[in-house]
Amino acid sequence: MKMNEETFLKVEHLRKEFDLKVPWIEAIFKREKKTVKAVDDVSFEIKKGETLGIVGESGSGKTTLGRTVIRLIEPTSGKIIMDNTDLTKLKGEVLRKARRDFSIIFQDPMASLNPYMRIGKIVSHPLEIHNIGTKQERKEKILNLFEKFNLTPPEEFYNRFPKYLSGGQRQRVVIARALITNPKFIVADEPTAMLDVSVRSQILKLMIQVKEEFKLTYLFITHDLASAKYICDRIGVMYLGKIIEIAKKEDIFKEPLHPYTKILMSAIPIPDPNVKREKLMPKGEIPSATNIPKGCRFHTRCPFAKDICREQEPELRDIGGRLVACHLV
Amino acid sequence: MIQNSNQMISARISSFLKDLLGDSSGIMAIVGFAILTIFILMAIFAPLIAPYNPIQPSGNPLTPPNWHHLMGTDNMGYDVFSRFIYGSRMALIIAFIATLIAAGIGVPLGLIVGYFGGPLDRVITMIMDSVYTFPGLILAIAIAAVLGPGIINISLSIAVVYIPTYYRVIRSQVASVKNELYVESAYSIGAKTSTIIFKYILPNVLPSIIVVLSMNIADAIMTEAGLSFLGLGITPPTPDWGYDLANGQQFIISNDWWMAFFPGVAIILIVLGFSMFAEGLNEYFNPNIGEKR
Repeated sequence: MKMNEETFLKVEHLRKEFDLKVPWIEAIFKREKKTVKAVDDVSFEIKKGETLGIVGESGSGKTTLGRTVIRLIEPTSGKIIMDNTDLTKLKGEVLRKARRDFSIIFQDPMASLNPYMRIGKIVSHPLEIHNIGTKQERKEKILNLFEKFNLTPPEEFYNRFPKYLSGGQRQRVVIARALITNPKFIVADEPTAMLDVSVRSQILKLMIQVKEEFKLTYLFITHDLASAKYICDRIGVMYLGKIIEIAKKEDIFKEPLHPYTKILMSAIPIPDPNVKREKLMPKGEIPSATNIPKGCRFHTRCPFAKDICREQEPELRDIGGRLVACHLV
Repeated sequence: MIQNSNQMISARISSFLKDLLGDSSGIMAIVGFAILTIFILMAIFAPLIAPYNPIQPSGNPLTPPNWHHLMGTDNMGYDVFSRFIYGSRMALIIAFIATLIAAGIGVPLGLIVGYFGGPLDRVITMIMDSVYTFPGLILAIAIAAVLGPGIINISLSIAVVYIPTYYRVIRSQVASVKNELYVESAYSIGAKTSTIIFKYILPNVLPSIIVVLSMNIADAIMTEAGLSFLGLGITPPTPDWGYDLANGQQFIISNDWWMAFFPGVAIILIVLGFSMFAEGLNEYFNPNIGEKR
């Protein structure tokens, strides 16, 4: 496994399968275990300072992927190499201490703050856990960060409980908590999905601003293509647990190659009533992850499916500097 | 800054009082609290309030209530009023000790088992459920009969009955709270398991602990009275409502009603006080309970 000097995070053949709970009678008679393949053999790289977006429908496994990458969920198999250490090999205390180097921003800012903790304590807790700084230094650092994040007056926010904050303010607190230990890598799991449109761009701008300042690398998970276009450098499209296309943002928006990506792109509204374009629609719903279609997993809904698509699973192939998993490209 | 936090505290107290007084549940809690305060003061200042020594004859046996003996005297010539006052001590002490023991075992157990789950959960839940299926008083009688009388022994036998109540409530609460995002956040910043349990989960289940606690005290008082009524509680002549009630009921037939009546009223009042207080607290913490459909 050669590491490119610039490569910061390298994920190799990552899998996560969840066992389905079956009634015990079935478990005895059928003997076969049912599993949900939430993440199914995913590999990608992120360069230092880059933002990789992961887009996909609900149920495509993008959230599971994000959580598995920072070991909030145990991977079934695969490797996660961050800064030359394999995260999948870390255990117990070592893993716990390593957590200061990466963090996560969750989707729901209302639920990700402990309602019985003051904001100041919430943000300083990571520092206390990792024994960083003295009490006074911690507080100063947090107040500075609050000032920068427009949580003013900072002293007042420091002593407030989460229930007195708005959604946008809470999400800024969540970002502050994620940043306070100076991590190198942040997984953002749909950080703007629960926010008002007006607050959304604020949060995205803040994320871009702190990225420069703290020299961060992002894995940005979203189903909102507009946010992805705004913040990401490269975008990976996920379908049923697999990345089916991964390319530079410009390429993927200008000329999507995979049929599924084409469909996604044609779903972006164009704010001009006179523009006519061909409407591509997938057939039906996303299949269940317990029962992934044979061959190409998208063939059941693909408007261009051929015989080969039903038989053979396409690999990710390099096509002009971008990776696509489709027989027809 | 100090001024600032003072303002916050006073604002919180006033909003708490407003919430309490604003609707009927608040009134219930306050009436319950008033009854409890009276009994607790009575227990603390018993020697000052009681006119006679409760374990020494102070008049002719079986005197009906009069100005010297407000509640009459019993068959031994003890002053029923003085025993009424002192009886609150036994009831409260045993109920508090029993509840503290039960909570002290049930709450940590529920926290740990609820958090870790798995086979441990199955085994302990099964044990707790089997204890829970016993009728409370019968179980307490069995344990009290083995342990013998005495404040600590009686408290223990009552405590055993209530451990499963705490365990079940806390375990199920923890099982739902542990899946909250803020718990996952704590994990993601590298918090230790003990930190997660005590700083992130415990504060969020604390309101239900308080409610169960105050409800259980009422139950514990009843159980204690029941044990003493059956002669398994405190050794006479220590003043105890349950014992006095049992003693007095023999004389109801001969129309000497006051011996059984006053201890009975005391038990009813104190249990009512705790129940109302608990119910009021419960409605305060879980605003959906008292709502009409």
